Amino acid sequence: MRKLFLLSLLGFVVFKGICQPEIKTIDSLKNALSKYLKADSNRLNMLLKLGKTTYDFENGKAVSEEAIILATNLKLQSKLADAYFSSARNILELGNDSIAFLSLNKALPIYQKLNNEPGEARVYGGLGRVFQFRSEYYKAIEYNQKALMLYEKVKNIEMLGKANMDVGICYYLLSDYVRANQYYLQSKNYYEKVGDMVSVAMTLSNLASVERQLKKYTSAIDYNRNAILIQYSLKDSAGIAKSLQGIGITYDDMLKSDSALWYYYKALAINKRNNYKLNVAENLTNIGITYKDQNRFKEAFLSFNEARNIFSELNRIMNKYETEINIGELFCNAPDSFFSAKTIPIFQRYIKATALFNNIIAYAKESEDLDLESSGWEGLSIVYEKKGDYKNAFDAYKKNVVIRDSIVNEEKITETTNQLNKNEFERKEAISKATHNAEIKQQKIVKNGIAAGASILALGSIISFVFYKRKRDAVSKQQEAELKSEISDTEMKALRAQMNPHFIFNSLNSIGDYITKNNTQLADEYLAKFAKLMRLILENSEKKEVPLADDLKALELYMQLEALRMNQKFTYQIKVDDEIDIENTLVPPLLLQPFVENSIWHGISNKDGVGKILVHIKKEGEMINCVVEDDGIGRKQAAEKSEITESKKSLGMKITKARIDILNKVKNATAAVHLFDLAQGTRVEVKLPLALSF
Amino acid sequence: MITTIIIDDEQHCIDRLTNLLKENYSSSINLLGAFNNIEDGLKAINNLQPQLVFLDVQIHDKTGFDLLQQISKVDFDVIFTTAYEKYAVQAFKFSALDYLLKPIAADDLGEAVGKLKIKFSKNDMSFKIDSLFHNLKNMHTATKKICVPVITGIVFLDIVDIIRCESDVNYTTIFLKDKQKLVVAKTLKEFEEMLTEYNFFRVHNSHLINLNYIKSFNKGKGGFVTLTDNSVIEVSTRRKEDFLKAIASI
Repeated sequence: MRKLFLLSLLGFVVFKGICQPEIKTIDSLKNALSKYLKADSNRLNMLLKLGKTTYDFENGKAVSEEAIILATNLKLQSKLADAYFSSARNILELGNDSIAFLSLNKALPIYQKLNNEPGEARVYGGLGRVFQFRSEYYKAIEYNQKALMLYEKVKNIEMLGKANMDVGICYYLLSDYVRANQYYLQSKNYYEKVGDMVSVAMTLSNLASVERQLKKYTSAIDYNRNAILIQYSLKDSAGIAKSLQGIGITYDDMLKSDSALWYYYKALAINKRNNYKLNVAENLTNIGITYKDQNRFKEAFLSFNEARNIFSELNRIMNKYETEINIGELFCNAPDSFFSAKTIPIFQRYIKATALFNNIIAYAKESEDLDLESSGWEGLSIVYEKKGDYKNAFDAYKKNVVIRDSIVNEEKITETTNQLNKNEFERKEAISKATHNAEIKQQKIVKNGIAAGASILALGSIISFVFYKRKRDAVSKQQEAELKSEISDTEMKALRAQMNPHFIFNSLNSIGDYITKNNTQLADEYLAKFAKLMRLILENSEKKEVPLADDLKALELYMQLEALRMNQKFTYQIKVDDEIDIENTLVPPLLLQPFVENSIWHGISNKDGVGKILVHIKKEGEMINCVVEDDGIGRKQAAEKSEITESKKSLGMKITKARIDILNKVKNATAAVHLFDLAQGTRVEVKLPLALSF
Repeated sequence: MITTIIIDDEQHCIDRLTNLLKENYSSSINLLGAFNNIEDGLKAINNLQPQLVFLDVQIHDKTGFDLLQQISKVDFDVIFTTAYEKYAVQAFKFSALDYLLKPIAADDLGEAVGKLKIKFSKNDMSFKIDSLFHNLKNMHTATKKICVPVITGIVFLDIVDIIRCESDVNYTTIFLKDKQKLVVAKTLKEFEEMLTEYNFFRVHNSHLINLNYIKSFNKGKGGFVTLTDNSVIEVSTRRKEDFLKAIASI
């Protein structure tokens, strides 16, 4: 059975425990904020301070958001970066790493631009936290190392302590205890230098965990004892209880369960006195596990039960179910005498256990927690086995194994990624070490002769100039690319805008034509339709892309109008292949309209008898082919009949071609327009890359 | 026969609508009269007790809303008529009220009248009007309410209470903060159009979510968002980039 030590990774809270005076400052800040409502830099400073110190992260998030807006309005760049950082801090604590990541990436360039090195370092530290959160520890270490270098440069001792601690934690989680030890010790030294005893105690606890993992039990206990001494002088009762529990866990590892229990109970008493509910539940769980290992079922059950109730009250669902697994196992393994107690009748033992495990499995499935689900199946298989139902026991066991395997697979994948990152990281470290060694040598040379030093200085400045120039070139290249895309955007917009007056003039012609030929009432009806079409076109042409459905609606309305104007001189049909979801397919607005217009004005108006226009949208691989086909008089005859010269003839076509060219450039696509002369009429094919909105 | 009046300050608009009604709906709609100011309109409503009023939004220096405000209980249907005026149109959509854009097209009128024939419920009307006033009053704040038609009638919802909407062909299921679910006979697209400017985002063909209720985002090909009600919603690959931009700007 797996052992469960809740939150035993002591001191992993990166923000220090709250002390009374800090709470006071936070409260007075809140108070001051509610009174000082002027949106100026004073309020901004207060917001930033509160966002940085508060432990009410929801409130911290809100406060930072206000700070972001305020800093933007006041155009205070450095404060804006601070605000982004503060927002990231609070959001990460609320468990949302991706959004925190985005905020940090907003703060970073600002700090870099302002040459604010402490700020930059803090952001690196924050990014380290994000990657630690995602279990990508080598990446986390890499960022923390960057932070370390900057802090060394600006000689910020306190933050050096924190960054070292963060690197240590990552190595601990990677089970590289030797390096974890190294970084924790450094961290401790820095904290001692600045006299931050709360953090010193925390590093001691972390060191104790390392020693315990290395099976150096006496020194683990010593570290915890030293931590307790400090915590005692600081009256940090939560810290004391944690350290006591740490000692208990160590004794448990040493298989001295009675001593372990003694320390757990001591911690429990402190936590109960101070009403630290979560810590109480944590102690009780550990006590229960120890009792269970000692086969003291009744005591174990009572402890687990109490812990479960607290977890449930605190809404720690995950912990609650983990505790219930232990309870379920108790029901299976306890001797008959255990059940003679009034609380649980013996005939209910398997019923209750089955219910518990089924419940756990259901929750685990819902929350996709494979670990928990496999424990649930494992428990269930034991219940069936005890009941003598071997078939079901086998089935449940099989499920457990399948899920276990998939977990192992997943773990392997993470491990491989971590390994890859590790290689990358070590390579980088080797390079930086090499540079570092080179620097040391360089310094020796400087000591040896001023002349040599001067020449190296000159060389250095040349190199740095080269690097500077290269970086500048890269930046300007990127800016150029951005500018280009912006230009093509504007160009597109201009072209779409040109479509509007072009279309309006043609339609006004149609209306004028209509009025002279027909009575006013029909002209009025026509006008209403025209207004509706104009609205549609105005709406569509504002956008880069519109759903095909909307574009076809406008196209159909346009054809209706023209058919009305020309006394039903033509009929039309719009066909869309079943494979195309017209709501989900995106097209540039009004791309086909000029071709339809050509068909009507040049192909059909000159034809004898009724014409036909077919608009057919087809899917061809990763492209859509939009076909406009008419049975008019064809291009050749139309050109002969029309007095307008070829170059002036179709502004709409020209604009469309220009739009397609830009589209190809921007999207790197192969959109194209082809014209075909048919035996009777003309056929235009516009091929566009298939773009979906979802 | 549905009895109706027109209230509009422009004679040519009255003429046009009168003509359209006479030509197409003389058998089903009985036009009792047309009035070109608020005072006459009010009197006519009291005296003639029409079942339907075509009401212009801008009437001289007042609005059709002013008229409605002077009526204690609106027990007639209203179809607003307006030229292109974006904000009012938004308020109508929110309150599930019908409106016609001028110049009125015959087929749009047909659609609006067709809807009336299907349903004539007066209780709903004062509900919708209340909602309209609420939304007009709070035009620029976030406490908007929308009216949604459900099987049992109309429900009046605070936008801030909506966690997400999920599409089911022509129906949409709305998930509320208090765990309630509503099935509405409207497409998700219609909700998307109404709610996008209130911090909603269509992450997927069949999901529209309120960005204020995001708990976490898991990376993946498209990724998944977990909302505060613990529902896990897939983010479509094509929407991921825009989605990340949208959450970054919250």
